[in-house]
Formats: sequence, structure tokens, C-alpha cells
Amino acid sequence: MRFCSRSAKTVFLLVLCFLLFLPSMNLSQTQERFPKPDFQSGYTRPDLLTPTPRSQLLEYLDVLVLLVALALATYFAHKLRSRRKLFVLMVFSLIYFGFFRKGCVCSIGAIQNVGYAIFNSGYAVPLTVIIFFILPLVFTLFFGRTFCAAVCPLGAVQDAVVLKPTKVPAWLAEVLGILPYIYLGLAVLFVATGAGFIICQYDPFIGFFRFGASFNMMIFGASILLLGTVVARPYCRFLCPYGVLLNWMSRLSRWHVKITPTECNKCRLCEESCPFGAIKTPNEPRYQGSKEKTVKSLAALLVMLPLFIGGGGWIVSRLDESLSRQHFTVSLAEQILLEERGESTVLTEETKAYRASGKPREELFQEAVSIQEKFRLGGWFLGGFIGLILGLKLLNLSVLRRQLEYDVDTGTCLSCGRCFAYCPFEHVRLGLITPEEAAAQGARDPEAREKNENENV
Amino acid sequence: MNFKIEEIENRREFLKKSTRTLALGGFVLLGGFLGMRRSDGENSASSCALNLPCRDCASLSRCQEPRALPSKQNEDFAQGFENEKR
Repeated sequence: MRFCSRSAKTVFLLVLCFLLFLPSMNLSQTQERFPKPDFQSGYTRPDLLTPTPRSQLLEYLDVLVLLVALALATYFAHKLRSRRKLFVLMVFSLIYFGFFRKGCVCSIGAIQNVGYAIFNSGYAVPLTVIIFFILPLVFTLFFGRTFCAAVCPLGAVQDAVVLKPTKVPAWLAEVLGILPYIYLGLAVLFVATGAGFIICQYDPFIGFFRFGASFNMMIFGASILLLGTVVARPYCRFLCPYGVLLNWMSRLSRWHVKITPTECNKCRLCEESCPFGAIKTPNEPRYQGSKEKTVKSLAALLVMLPLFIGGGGWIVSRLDESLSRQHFTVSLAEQILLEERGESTVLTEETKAYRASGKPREELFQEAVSIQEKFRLGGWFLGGFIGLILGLKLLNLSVLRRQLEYDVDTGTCLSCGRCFAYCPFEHVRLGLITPEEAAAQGARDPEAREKNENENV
Repeated sequence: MNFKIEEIENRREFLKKSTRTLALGGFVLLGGFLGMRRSDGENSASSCALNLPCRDCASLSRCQEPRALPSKQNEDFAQGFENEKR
């Protein structure tokens, strides 16, 4: 880490640890939206964990901050190629969008608001939420994932704890890489059926940002951070549903950061620099066996693609009962049924409140059945989507692509700028060494020299 | 051979450019469609209206249960927002 001194990072980690452990000191910062109601029943009112609503003007200020942060991140990554400046901006984003704004509104969670608005014509999603959802995607479409590099607070909190990153084996990264698609599909299914906002519900870091969450979520968040010390940004790479969309957009990006500012002399110095495994190494496509055989297996996979889609749809649609239990109406109907059958002796607050409402039980059961049907139909789409992704991943693995030099994988590269300092031509750009010295870097590395010679032969 | 690689690169670039334009158009349409939408009142403003136990309960407004509090607040907030808009 040339740009970021070790001592500065240690100080930052200490401050971060202090902030993360504040919840255990019971320093609740949550505020009430309205005056306390006067309960006569002796209940102790539970603490609220949601942040206070902001005025419209301040919400637009958030949008402005997002826009400026995205523009700065892009400028630092593309023009200045400065890891240090990206790191400073990342700390600012963590403080502003994370601890100050308490992680809300965030682009990741906005998926659900937008999804809910698409499936529910009666829901008017606030304009600021729409902008929070679309703006990072548009930036990514042109400049790559600069949002992940220095603007996303969830990414920032993980990036700050990367201490000794280890390389995740390619096969494991491919397998785990399917999880964000499943998570995204589930999140959309849950908002489409009105079951809930699971991305917010299971956000591992929101408890830290708001200085309070359930014990389980705090443990989950702490585990992710602990894992993040050795596996860089595990949530971003293997869970983040917004990352799926950013990955797609980044593949189409007009301009994307490159490891080298000029040319690649294949010195291999950058090979191990990326903790996210987002560097593509030069290769020469070699067919295992005959070319015809490879083409045949590719054709077989293409034919099997509809089977993957259909099979996935069938499997997930079978899970409708267990998935629909996450919907409040279905779980309430089941609980009432259990209580009526005498299988549950303890009456819950929800069932007591429902009975007090005077609504007929048949109405509830009918609604529960209709929700279950929605889950069955949605299960077909979700399973089909997962099957399609699985099939496309297999197809992608079967396609052999020629790679001439070291370059970033535009889909998975987070534009963090860690690799810049490893390129000798970056040092030339900064005026630290001469072009001749940079050209000699590759020759000094015995492995690179041998590899270059073989390639030249 | 080089010509072939160039051809493939050009084709890839063309496809990327077309898809990028389509995606950008999609975002503009989506943003416009959702941004222009006016609420019918029920769920507007409360961006976290889901996942609350008594969302659909008829007696929510007079309910004394503590767990109904967040739902009531959301409803009040939504109504307040609507009044403010008017």
C-alpha cells in the first residue's frame, strides 16, 4: 500500500472499532418521529430503530452529495488515478452515508422501493430514492464501478477492515458469485408479493450505522467484518444484490479504469495486487481435445439452457409454502389456524390484535391463499432466472477468450485503484522513474522474462 | 488473423454500444415512469411501509398495542405528507 500509510490506516481502524462498539455502550441515537402516545396498559414502549425522516430539502442535499461523490470518485479513479484520494472519499462516504445518514437512503435498498413501485401501482416512490437507484447505475454505465470504489458506505466499511486478503479459489468465487443473483431475485419476489424489504431487514451493517440492531444482526455484521479482514469485501462480492446490476452495467462501460496508464509489458507485478481477484491474466486459448468437441459441448449447453430455466422454475415454485410464510398475512393465517386447532396454546399479540379488529377469518385465509399463489408464480420466474444465470455461467466458462495483456475484469473490478501503484508505467506517469527503467521492470522479473520469451517464440 | 480479431473487436464494441444506449434509455424511461407517478394515497411517502405486522388491520387507528406504533406512525406520516402536498 504505497498511497495509504500503515499508521494512517491503523488510526482509521481504531476510530472505526470505536464507532462499531458504541452500540454496546447503549448510546442509542434513535429519535422519535412523533410524541409518545399515552398508553394506559402499562406497556413499556420499545425503542425505535429507524432514523428520523428528513425534510425534502435535506433529501435533495443527499442527492447532491451522492452526485458530487460519484463525480469525485470517477475523477480520482480515471483522471488522477489516486488510491489515496479514493480512500479519503471512501472515509467521507462512510461517515456521511453510513454513520450520519444511518445507511438510509441507500442505493442497494432502493432496489426494493423501485421494485415495489413497479409491482404496486398505488405506491409512489420518492424521487430521491429513484435518483439514488439510477444515478450510480448510469455512472457505472460510463465509468465502471466507481460507486463501489468510494461512495457506497457498505463497501467502505468492509474496505476499511481489509488487513490480509487471501485469494479465493476461482471455482469457489464462481460458485459464491451465484448468491447475489439469488438474493436479488428473492428481494424482488418479496417486494412483488408484498412480503417485505429483506435487503434492509438483513443488512449486516445497518446496526453499526444506527448504533443499534438485534443481537443476531450485530453478530452477522461483525462476522462479515471479521471475514472481511482476510476475504476482501465479502458482502460486495458474494451477496450484494445491487452489485449484480452494477456488474452488468460495468461490462458495458464506455470508459473503465485500466491497470496501466499506457501499455502493458506483462511484467506480472500487478498479478497479485487485486484482493478481489478482478485481474485477467494473458492467455492463449487452447482447446482441450479437438475444437469440434469443444463446439459440440458448447452447443449441448445451449440446448440445455431451457432445461436449466424450466428446472429452476419448477424447483423454486415448489418452495412456495415455505417462502410465503415470510409474508405477514400468511404467517398470521397459519398462526390463527394453529391456535384454533389447539396446536399452539400461547396466543400471540398479532392474532389477538387481528381478532380484536373484527375482520372475518375467511377473508384472511383467502388472502393468504392468494399470496401463496403469487409466490408460486413468482417462484417460476425466480427459479427460471437462477437457472438462466447458472446456464450462462456454464456457457461463459466454456467459451475460451483470448487475453493479450493484464487487464481488469470490467464486471467485477471495483475501481478501487489498488493495482495502479504496481504498474511501472504508472511510476513513469508520476515522474518517479524513466520509461527505460519501466521497460526493464519486466526483464528484471525472471518469471516474466521467461514467459515473455516463450510468447515471443 | 489480425483482421479477424479487429472485426470481432468492432462487433463487440458495436454490441456494447447498442446495449449501453438501450440501458440508458431504459433508465430514463423507468425514472420518468416512476417519477411522474402520483400516489393514490395508500402507501406513498412511507418508503418502509412493508413488513409491519398490522399494515392491513382495520382497527389500526384505535389500537393500543405497542407493536402497532410503527404502523400508526407510518400512516400518520403518510397522511401528513399528503396534507402537506395539498
